[in-house]
Amino acid sequence: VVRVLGARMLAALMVVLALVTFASMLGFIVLCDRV
Amino acid sequence: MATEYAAVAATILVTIGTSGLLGGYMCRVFTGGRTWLDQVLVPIEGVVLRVAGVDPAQQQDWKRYSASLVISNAVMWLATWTIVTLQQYLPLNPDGIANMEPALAFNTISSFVTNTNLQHYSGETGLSDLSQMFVITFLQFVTAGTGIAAAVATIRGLAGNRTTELGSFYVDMTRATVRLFLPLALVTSVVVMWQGVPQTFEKAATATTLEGRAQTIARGVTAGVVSIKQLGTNGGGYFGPNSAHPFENPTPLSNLVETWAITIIPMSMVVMLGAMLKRPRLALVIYATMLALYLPMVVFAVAQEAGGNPAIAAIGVDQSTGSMEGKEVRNGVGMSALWAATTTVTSNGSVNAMHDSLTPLGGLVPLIGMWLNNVFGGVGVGFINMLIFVIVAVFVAGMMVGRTPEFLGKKVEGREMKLASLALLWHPLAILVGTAVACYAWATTADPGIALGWLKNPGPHGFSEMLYEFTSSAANNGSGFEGLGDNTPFWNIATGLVMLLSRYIPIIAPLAMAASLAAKPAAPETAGSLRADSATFGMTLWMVIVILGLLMFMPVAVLGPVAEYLALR
Repeated sequence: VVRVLGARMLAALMVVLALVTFASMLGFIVLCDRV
Repeated sequence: MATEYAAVAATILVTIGTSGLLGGYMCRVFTGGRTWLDQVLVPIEGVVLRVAGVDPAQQQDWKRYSASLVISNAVMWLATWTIVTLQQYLPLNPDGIANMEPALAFNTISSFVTNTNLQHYSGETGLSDLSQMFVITFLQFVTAGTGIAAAVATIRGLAGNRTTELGSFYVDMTRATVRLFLPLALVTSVVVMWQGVPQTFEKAATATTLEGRAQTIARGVTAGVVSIKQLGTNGGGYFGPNSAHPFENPTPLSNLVETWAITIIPMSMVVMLGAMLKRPRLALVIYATMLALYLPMVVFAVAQEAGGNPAIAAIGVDQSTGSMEGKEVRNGVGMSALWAATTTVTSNGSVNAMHDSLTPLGGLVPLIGMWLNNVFGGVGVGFINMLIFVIVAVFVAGMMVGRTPEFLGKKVEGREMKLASLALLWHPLAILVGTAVACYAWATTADPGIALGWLKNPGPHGFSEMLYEFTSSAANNGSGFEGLGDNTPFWNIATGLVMLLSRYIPIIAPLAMAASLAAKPAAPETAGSLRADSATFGMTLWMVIVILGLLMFMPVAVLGPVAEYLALR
């Protein structure tokens, strides 16, 4: 995977993945509020 | 063997005995009471809050509280991920350790931010001293503080009467870190240092062996990591072999102190609950229920390991000292099995023996501990997980006797049950779906080299290894059946995601549930109310936990450990 994507692309992808996961948890707070 | 059994019993008794004292101290810390450490620690807490610009009087409702928790964790994630991926260019790197590869760093940082400490790298070769101190040790303190803060807010919710205020996340986290973990970790560090654990900035030592070959012996800032890894139910060691390594856990006394440190705060949390709610009987019922789940697991695990391995006995190797494969002679089967059960019920995940080498049913015990994840549990989150089962038990009991389910004088209604179900069902979903995906991916891997690198042991044990990895991630435990080749993009990214989601979903949903209870008026308890502080309720709770656990995880237990046990006989 590192060879195909290149280390920088992979690094950027990992940061985006983490941010999306944290953002989804903020979304989960809204979901719990509406339940 | 008799000495070993006595050591197991003594360790458990010492921990139970001291949990009352610490629970009282914790209650005073979080309710603004006075303690004898105030003169030293309160000023430090004040400085931290002032520097961070936090107004201690500012109250938060559950949404702001959980948003603060998630956002502060996201910021820590980004900062620490940056450090490990750039550690080669940063100071305090005497052994010239290279930057961590991005996917492995994703896994490592997600693991430490979520208090899991699953390690797909080996500490002595993968992290610089800077990363060990400012990433690993830092996160081990603050994520444990995060767990305690979440539990304290949940307890305030339970105690609340028509209120939306749950305290301030930043104050609670700082308090837990400065006034609880800091003093305890200092004392524990000194004790393990006295027993021989190194704490040094020197680079690795080189020695000449008896055969005349040069050997490199890694060392470093170990004692600091060891103390907080146990106290904060983190579990991530300085060295790859964790507390099986003689530099992390050199003597029987260090082993006792470290086992004590694993359980002391989760046990004290229950005492704190009783003190904060002013319901000591309720705490006693929950404590007894937890013990009634924990002690049978310990006894069963010790018996399994002491019984030896029939397959090894069949080739003529003496098994009178028990199944010693993967165990340290200085720990023996008793303390190894006790540790295996303790580290997994509490979501700690440090090991003093290799779990992959446990006998099949001995290895089932750690899995059960993580599946339930509420028997004392991780610092803070263990109690939150237990609360979910308490609410379910209240609901089931209420339905059985035909009364409105009530807990602490508050009606348990649809909203609370939906939130409890969300938190309850996420855990098996993450474990079972994750394991299914991994099995499919492994079975359809075309390249035999890759398949072999992933799993050297196909059949029931290989299944158990993959099941354990997802169980450990979802329970935020961090131990592993290390026969699995887990430093691959699939495992790094899949378990990284499971750890993140399995940390925050089971914190946010119960917090919302507790807030929902806090907003309701507390009705006075009458003869018709269901009493949660009775032995009958304790037994009901125990049954609900066992039955739900069996319903969720019996099939995978049969496919993995039980099948392996039957194959070995």
